[in-house]
Amino acid sequence: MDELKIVLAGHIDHGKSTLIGRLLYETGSLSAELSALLAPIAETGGEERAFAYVLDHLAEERADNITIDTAQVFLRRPERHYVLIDAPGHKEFVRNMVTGASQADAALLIVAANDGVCEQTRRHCNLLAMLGVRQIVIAVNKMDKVMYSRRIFEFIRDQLARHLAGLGLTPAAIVPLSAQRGENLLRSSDRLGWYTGRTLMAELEALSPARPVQAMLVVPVQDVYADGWAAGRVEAGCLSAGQGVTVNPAGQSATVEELTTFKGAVAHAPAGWCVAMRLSGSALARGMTLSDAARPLPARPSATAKLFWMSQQPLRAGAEFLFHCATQGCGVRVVAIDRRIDSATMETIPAPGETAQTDATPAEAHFTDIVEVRLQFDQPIVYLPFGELPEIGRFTLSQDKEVVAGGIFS
Amino acid sequence: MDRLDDLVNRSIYLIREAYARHRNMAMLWSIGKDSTTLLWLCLQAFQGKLPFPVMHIDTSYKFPEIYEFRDRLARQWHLDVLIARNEPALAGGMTNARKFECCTALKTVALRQALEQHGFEALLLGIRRDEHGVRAKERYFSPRDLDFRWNYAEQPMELWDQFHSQLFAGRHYRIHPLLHWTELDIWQLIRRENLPMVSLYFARDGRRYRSIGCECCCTPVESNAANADAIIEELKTTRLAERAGRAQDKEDAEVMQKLRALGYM
Repeated sequence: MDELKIVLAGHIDHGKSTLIGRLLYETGSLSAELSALLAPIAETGGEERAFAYVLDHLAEERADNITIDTAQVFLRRPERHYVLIDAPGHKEFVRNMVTGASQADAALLIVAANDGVCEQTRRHCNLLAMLGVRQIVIAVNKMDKVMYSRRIFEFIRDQLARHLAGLGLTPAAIVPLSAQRGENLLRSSDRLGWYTGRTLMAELEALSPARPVQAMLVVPVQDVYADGWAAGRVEAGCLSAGQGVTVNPAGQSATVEELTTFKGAVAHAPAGWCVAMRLSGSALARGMTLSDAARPLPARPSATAKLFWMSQQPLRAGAEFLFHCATQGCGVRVVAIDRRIDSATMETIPAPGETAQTDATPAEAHFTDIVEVRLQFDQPIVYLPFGELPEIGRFTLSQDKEVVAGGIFS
Repeated sequence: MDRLDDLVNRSIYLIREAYARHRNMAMLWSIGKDSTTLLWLCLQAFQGKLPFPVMHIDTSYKFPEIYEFRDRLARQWHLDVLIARNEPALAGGMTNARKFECCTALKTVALRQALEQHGFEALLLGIRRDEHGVRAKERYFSPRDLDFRWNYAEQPMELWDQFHSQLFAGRHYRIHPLLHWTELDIWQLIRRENLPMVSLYFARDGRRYRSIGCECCCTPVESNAANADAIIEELKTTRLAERAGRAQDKEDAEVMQKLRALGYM
């Protein structure tokens, strides 16, 4: 049985927590105690926050009626397991939304029919595209608040489909529903009689957890132990005992003499397996990356990349950070900021006193900006463009013990 | 890869990542099903030889079966077991009459004393997101400050398996390699790998424990599930919360959050 991780994204108050709470209730996933408490509310559809309370467990969240932190809850269905990641819809907590989205196979984007497409709706779409989440189901929620209007649903549907098309994405499905009233989650509703598509749960069942299989071998070295065994996880391709490999960035040739997983000695370890191995021909250390003998990976001292800036302090050209990509880590300098992009509108933000037409490069970037930068590393780094191999195409920047940006190589 | 192999590989990656950053660490072993599973996973991560000690926070009120099981497995698996007890509090007659105070003295304070004594940078813990609502919000790598607190409102980002790992004086990390497992997953692994477990989990005379801790604060559930197969079948249909038999979770709806903020695991 497989597992699908779905992040719930969308603007604040559009009903993400309520939708998860109601899905858990409708599928019988809550404890008997909690279910009994919610049953009368489920009947009447009153008490707007009741189902969201299932998720908002921090005292502060209850007090302020707001989701602060990502919660991951499990939903077990006959066909597969789901992990539902409740991400906050408030701009201040976008870091937590990114944490949730970075772990997801798919996204469920929620838009309240009575509020329409808002700033965080667009920002979350843009971030999902940047983070490489390709499967998006859209729930047009609170249909009960707009008298189940087909016209309003179609307006929002077309608007979002256009926006996603601009990001190179096609939504897997767009479903009108009312989370609070449990309409069109598992059961279709007479009030939405004009809607001929499937229910939300049926659309989630139709999603696929499959990730593309890469032929190229990539094994970042995680650690080397006192007894000489090296540990790593196969990120792409398949590692085999007896195989010749290249140890990057130095480019030395080596042979896999012994290969084990938790199952014991193995002949082959495909992507996703943690291995322990002994190699002859080259000493290993954390941060090195094994690749096919015939296909050494490029190691470069600089890169162009796109960052999502998540610190309240501005990013300035010349700033230095700690850089991490797979198991590689080193110092890095942002040598230039080439472009600032508003993550809600995806439009270029002109430098102060400049217009969008001039060539002036921005001096700094701010919280939630998407930023095109040039990076200079302290040592050569093995990477590929994100679109080619996400596992070594994405990185983080940290400063003062905090991750301040996530980035992808262009 | 099947689901259990996927869960195991993910945990092994996290355990190795913890050890790569913190050679000076330990695993907290409550002797329950989750931390015993974590212990097995740690052995898998290091090819059967654990490179760090396991620590048992001993309140002295655990079931006798727990102590027997601990000592037997420690011998079988060649474990370096550290036992942490708050002796002054025990000598002062601390009992479960006031549960919050008792948990604080015999678990939180005992752990704090042991951390000071051994100076560990990081502790592996077997908590899971599906155990309790507040645990659903935990991170894999969770920094604790000088006062031991979990700053749950402002947690570090965990982006693409890059974990928060910069220490400064007085801090330590709680690292949670089982966070993504459910109770059912744990039992499926126990069955598949034939892992040894404390006998209290298996039904006798129509009752068994679903979650174990101190004898005085645990209530069994009605059940006839006498082996892992039967427990798996039971879990597929039950609507009872896993920790429903744990007294400290019931006293106050938010007691769990308070305990965690204070450093109780």
